[in-house]
Amino acid sequence: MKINGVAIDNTFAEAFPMKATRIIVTARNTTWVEHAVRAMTGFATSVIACGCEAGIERHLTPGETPDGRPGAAVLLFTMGNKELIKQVQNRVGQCVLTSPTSACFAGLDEGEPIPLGKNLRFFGDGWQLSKKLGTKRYWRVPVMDGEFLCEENTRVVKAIGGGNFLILALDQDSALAASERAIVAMRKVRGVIMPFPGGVVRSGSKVGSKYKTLPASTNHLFCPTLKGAVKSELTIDVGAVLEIVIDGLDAASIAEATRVGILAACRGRKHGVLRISAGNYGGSLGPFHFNLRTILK
Amino acid sequence: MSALTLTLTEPSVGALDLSGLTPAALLGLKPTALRRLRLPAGNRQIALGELFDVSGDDTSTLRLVGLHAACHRIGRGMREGRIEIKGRVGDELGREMRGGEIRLSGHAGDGAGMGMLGGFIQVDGSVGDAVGGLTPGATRGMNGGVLVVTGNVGARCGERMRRGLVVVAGDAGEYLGDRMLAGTIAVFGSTAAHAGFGMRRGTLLLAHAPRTSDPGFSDCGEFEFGIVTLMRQYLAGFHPALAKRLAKFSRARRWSGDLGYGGKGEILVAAES
Repeated sequence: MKINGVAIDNTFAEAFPMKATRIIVTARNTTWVEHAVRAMTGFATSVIACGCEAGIERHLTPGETPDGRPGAAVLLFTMGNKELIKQVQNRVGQCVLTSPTSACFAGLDEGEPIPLGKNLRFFGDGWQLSKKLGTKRYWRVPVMDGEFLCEENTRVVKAIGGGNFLILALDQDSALAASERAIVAMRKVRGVIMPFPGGVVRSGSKVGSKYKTLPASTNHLFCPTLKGAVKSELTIDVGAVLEIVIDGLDAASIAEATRVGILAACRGRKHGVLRISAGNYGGSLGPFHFNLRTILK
Repeated sequence: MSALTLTLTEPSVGALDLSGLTPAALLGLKPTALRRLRLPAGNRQIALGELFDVSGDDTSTLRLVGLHAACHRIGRGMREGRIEIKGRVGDELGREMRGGEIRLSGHAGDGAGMGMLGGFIQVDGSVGDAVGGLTPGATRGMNGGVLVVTGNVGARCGERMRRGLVVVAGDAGEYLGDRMLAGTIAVFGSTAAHAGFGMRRGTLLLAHAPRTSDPGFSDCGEFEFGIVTLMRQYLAGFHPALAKRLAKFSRARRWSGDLGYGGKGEILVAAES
């Protein structure tokens, strides 16, 4: 299978189950929305060492947010509920509560409730106020610029992490340009985040290592500088490989993000993209398999 | 199927306790059984068929027509369905209501929504004293639900209220939110003396500043309140027109009180008042 001259490998991306929540952060204007959500989703590229994977799903207009102000939807993914509870509390407490004019709401209506403002309210030192409107409770915590408004709970749903595809290109510039095109297209898909810097990862990993303490290590079969040293997956003309990792609320969202991302990466003439592949670990990583050719049919 | 409609044909019997007439209580009753249903009327019990003309068969919506000020306790303990009433009614409309909807086109007596736990009451008219207040012997008043009055309310609206939302388009009498524990009351008209007296928590939203300043409340200044936008959206599900008007409280002067009772309550006076 080829798209615009680019070979699509007959392989699948291997993904694994995660737990996720969507949180809506609002502020007085888009500048302060950006400050809050950038801080909240910082150092959240991989569960391997960050505790969670998080990213901005999309920006929201005032008409789309609960309090009628500009906002953003953030998705957080962890391997289990317990860690998600901790990550939500720490990240909202340290990055959103602290950000001027911010407010914070649940972005999902279904799923198991976990605390959002339920524990953060104690920052109010007894001056916090609650309002229950229908089935939802909100906390108003007095802070130095007025009140921090926060919904009591957010909802956790089953999700999928580790959807991915690899862009094999002639050189770094070609790989980077294709990745950027892909990310622009993929950010229009709802229910997914690409948690790495700029949505792109250059240090794709395999499961395990020769060192006992490491759960993951460099995917040496895709490292172009090792082409002559190992049984490489790369042909001699491949000079750089970049990976796009996708976490999503469901399989359909990940599949759609993969589809539009690959099509965008393969767009244009003389783009330098040679092949599209995916991180396939032979079934050792997870039960969700996203077959590239099936998705692109 | 058309809504079950009960038209009062014997208005001279005096006080009627209509608490037995809820959609759930009438569900599945055959016409003959419905007409035989005994209703307390003063110190007697009279068959429904002797008092009301019955038409329609859909008990999920109950229409009551031709009532008067001695028809009490309509929708008491109601959990589901809808009651529509035209004309004036007596006391304790929607007392201890848990769910469903009551819509009254006309005035109501005292104690509408007293001890209310859920559901929605809309009165297109005025209501007497103790709206959303206490049932006899209780320590808490209204504990949930939404109550909208497009006219005026009497004294002690929201007395010992614990939760829920009361919206009054007109004026409110003395002791609005008397000893309130929590919940929200919005008043678009004027308020009489002692608004918020003894309130421990909860919110009074007043479109106009009280005529007399109460020593139990302390001025905290003027702010924007995001929670008002959420209230507005919530109320829009019940009464869109009044929900729009709530926007005027988005910027308000906050009075904290009652200081003699912990000072955790608040009166938010619309900034443009």
